[in-house]
Amino acid sequence: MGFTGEFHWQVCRSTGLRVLALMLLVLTLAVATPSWAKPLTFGTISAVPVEEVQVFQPFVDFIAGQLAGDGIDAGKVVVAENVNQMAALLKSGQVDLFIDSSVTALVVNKLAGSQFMLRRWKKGREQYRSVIFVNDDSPITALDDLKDKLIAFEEPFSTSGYMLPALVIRAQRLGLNEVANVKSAPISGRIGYVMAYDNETQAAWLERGRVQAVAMAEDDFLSFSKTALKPLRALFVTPYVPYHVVTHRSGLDARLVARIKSVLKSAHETEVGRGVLRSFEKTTKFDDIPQSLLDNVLEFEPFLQQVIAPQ
Amino acid sequence: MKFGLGLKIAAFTSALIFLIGVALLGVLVYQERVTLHNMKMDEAEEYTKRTSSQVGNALYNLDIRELRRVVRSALEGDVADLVWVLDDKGRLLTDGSEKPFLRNQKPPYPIVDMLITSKVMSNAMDEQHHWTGVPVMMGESTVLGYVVVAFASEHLNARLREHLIKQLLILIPALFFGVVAAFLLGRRIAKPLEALSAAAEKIGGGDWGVSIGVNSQDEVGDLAHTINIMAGNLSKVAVSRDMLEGIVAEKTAELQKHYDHLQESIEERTRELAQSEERFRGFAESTSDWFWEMDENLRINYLSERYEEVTGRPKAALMGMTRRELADPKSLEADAEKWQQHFNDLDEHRPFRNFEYDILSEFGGGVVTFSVSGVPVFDEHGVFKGYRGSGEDASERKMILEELRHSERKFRSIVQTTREGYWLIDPQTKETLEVNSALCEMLGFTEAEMLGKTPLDFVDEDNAKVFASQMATISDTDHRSYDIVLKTKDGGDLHTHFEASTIRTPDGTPRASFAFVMDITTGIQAQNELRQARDAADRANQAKSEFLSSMSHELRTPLNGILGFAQLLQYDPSTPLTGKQKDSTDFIIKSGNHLLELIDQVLELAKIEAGKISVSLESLVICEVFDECTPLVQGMADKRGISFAQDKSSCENVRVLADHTRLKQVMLNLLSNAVKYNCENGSITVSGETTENKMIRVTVTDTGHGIPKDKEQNLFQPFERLGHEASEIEGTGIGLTITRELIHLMGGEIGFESELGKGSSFWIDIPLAVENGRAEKEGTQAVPQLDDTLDNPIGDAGKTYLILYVEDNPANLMLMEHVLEMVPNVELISTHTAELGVELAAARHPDLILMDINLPGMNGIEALSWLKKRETTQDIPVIAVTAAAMPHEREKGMEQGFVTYVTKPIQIDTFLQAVRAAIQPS
Repeated sequence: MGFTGEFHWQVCRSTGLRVLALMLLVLTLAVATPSWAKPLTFGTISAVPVEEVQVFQPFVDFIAGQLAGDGIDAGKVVVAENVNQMAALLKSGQVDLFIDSSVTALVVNKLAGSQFMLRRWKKGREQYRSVIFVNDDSPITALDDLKDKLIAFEEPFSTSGYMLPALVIRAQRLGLNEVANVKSAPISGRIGYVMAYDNETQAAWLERGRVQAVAMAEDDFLSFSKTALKPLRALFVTPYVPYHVVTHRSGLDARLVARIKSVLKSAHETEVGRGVLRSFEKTTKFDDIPQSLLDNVLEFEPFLQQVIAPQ
Repeated sequence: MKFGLGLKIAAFTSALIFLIGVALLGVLVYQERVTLHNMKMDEAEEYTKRTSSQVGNALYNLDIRELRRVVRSALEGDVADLVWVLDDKGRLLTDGSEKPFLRNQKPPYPIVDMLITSKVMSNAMDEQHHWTGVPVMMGESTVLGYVVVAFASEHLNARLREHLIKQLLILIPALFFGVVAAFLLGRRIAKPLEALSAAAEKIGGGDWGVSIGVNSQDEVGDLAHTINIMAGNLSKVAVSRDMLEGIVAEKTAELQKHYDHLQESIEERTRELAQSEERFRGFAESTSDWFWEMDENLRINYLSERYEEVTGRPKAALMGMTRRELADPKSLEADAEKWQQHFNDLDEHRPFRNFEYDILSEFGGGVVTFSVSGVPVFDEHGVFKGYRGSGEDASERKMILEELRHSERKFRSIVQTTREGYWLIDPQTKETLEVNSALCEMLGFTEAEMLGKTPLDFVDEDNAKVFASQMATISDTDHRSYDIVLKTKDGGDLHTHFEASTIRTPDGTPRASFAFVMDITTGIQAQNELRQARDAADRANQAKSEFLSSMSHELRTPLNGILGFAQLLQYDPSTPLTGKQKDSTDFIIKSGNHLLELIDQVLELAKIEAGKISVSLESLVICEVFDECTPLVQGMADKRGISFAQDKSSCENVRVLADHTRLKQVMLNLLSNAVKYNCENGSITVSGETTENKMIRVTVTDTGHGIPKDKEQNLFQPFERLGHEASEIEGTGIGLTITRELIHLMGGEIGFESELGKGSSFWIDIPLAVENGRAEKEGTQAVPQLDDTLDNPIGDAGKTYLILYVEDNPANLMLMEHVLEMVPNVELISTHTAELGVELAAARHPDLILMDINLPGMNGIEALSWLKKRETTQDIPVIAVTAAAMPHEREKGMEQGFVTYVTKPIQIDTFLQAVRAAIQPS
């Protein structure tokens, strides 16, 4: 699997939305609505768009309501299938704000020219990192030892389960190529990887020798360590990166950006706001991204193409 | 509350219907359960198989996400409670949840083990679930993993409940109708019976006109018909009410009378019963027995209170036990026959008395013996109900019996092993009841030959009298001791000594007589021999005494002449002797005295050896006795220049218990020896000291030559002179022998110490007198003082006294004539026979008779007796002048009546004193 999947209905939908927006504009004008009011569009990447919209909409509506005096009359949610698609939506201005993991946001920023805006404390988590680990009795002691070995990642668009550990490996100037399945052999001198699409599968493959290493979020690693079939050993730990971030498209009004930032950053200060955030995937707050964390993310920028582009 | 027949029938029928319905329901439910269970099993297996078919590829690829999805899909629909996918080792891969708790662990459920072991579809049940598991195979033998599904039993139970409810919905109405039908049935059955009951009640109340309208063709109808007939018959009986009442009243009065009488009898019987019970209780409390009862299984089910009081054991230990269980196993084994008899009695339900057995000590109190008696108890139908009886603690009695038996055995053993004969006879019939082997051996008869016979059958005629007289006293005496001669089987005589005793009953009745029989034949012989020996000894002694007496007499007689005439020669003033003649007469007298001394000592030694010498002990002042002796040896000591030294300080006024004469004799012997065996101009020291053993030791020390050591042991031997036989020192060699014997007779001791060349010390220990007071001398002859001159007249100087001398020896006669010629107022007449002497005494009536004893014909004793019988001569004093110097001769003479007993050879001065004393006793 990769980023090659087609998903046209979003495109159709955006067109319809444009028409509707126009009509609304006319109507608004007819009733003496300020002519510059427009919706604020949040974008996200997901394979289950219906559920995703259900999760995002209450939050989006709340924020939009806070920005009613700032020319925002509604809140919208747009779900893209992959990074490239989201980048296109941001670049075209169909999406104003993009919320996702920091590495994914980095990729989208590079493609769409968008910019980091705020950190989102999704599920109350401010940062996270990945762990590349092996069985404790494995002869592998360094990333370099993974040559000619297989590593299991979680899924292509998982920051902790793929992008982050992959960027680290790339940053070590190690070759990384995907193989078809766990029975496939990697290219000689390179590290082969396979997507397991499931943490438990990753752990099971490693425990039963299907792969020689696994990469996943640190919390997941610690959890699986407790129930591992045999002791596990961390081979490499990535730097911390923000768990979730909010980016904005380029060209978005700076005042509006500031205003949006203010609203997001103060959203948790009210009971209503906390309730809305809580229902939005247990978000606790939004804050500025610490520079150190942002630097950790930006360090991977030179290697993004190697991780994201198909090999 | 009364439950009628109809109600009972209805209730019974309803209960029956209910029970049948419930049973039927139970069967149906059970069947349904089984069916559902089987269906469920099939469904479960099918479901599990289906699930397992979906996980094969994912298991192969270890695609946990896919496995999770399949499991979640399987869990949808709530068919299964739990679905597990396990790896080939049985470890959990997924249960449908994210990160399952049992991840990588083998679930601890039996179904998992069953699957791993069998590798085939398996089923298991627990309280809450039905488990089904199936291996996921790749090929025939490769197990990829396992699928385990758990189905809630609740589903099955729910189905069952649903079915049960359905059944109940059917059953309950059915039961209801059944109960209703039962009640209707009961009612139908009870109604005619009620009619019958009402009719009977009326008839009982006197209304015989009742008619029961029950016409059913069954037993009830028949009964109704019969009652109708009976009522009709009753009505036909024409008995007036008053008459019947009168009869009833009369009968009632009669009954009341009988009742009252019966009541009185009951009360009286009750009183008697109470008294009997009280009496019984009194007996029970006073007796040392207890009462017991056994049930039909011969287990003790009752013990009176007395049991615990008597035995000190808890009743509870015996309750429920059989006698066999109680018995000491040793008793069961030792008295097997007795026990078997007892068990036979019990089995045959026979009474028994005084059965003794040892009770096991585990029931408390050590091993004891019970004695029980019992009678079987039967109910009114003759069925055996058990035993009842009494018991007592027979331990003490048993112990006493044991001791008695032991004593009997001991007695038997003694009787049979003793060497003395044992003879037990019946006191009435005198028949032999028992003998021992020793008696049989003595007599030569067997026991069988002796039993039944009397002792008279074993003696001759003479001894039979002895037996008879002894046996006649069996009743009157307890012990008899006598000698009797038995006849042995071979006709010989057996001298026996009987020690017989009578055995009596407590009231004194002779029960038996027994005797221990000792064979004294040997003893008799020994006695006879002893007697013969004694007789011989006596004869020998007698012969010896006669010989000594004869020798004494024969020797003394000539000595009398020798010494007498020698004395006359010395004492005759008319013919004084020359010096040489005097020396010669001195020598004659000295030799004669020596010979006389020797004779006396020999006689004395003989008397001592024969035990015929006696001592008369009296309290004496030792120093006084010594003082008496000193003058007697002084002359002899002076002649040799020997000096005396006497230390009286320690014995001044000390009294000893001794015979005066013998003590003096002893001291004279020691002193004379000290003088004789001393050196010229030597010295003699006499001293005394008291000893620790209440004696006084008198020591006589001389300065003689001493006694050689090798001769000391012969010092006290008779006739032993230790080498001085040829010396000039006079002696008989008997003095110390006699001295030692005399000291021993007086309870003292004698000893000596001697050093050759220096001298000897002889000591005597004499017992101190208890009372240091002067005591009278006794048993001594009155010796006249030697202060008269020989030629002084005797008695009245103006009277001439006639003295008759009876003597057959002419020399002695001549001597006497010469002696009495010296006395101026004495006339002597003499005769040579006692016969002539007594005639002469009767005729001349002398003033004094001098009588020799050994005379031809009548002797002097006989003559004295003759004189004492005659009135005319009985007052004439008679002096014995005889050579019969033996003590018994002297005693006999003095007893016969001699006033003085003068032995020959006479000492003239002593003799004349005796004459003077006899003529003039004052």
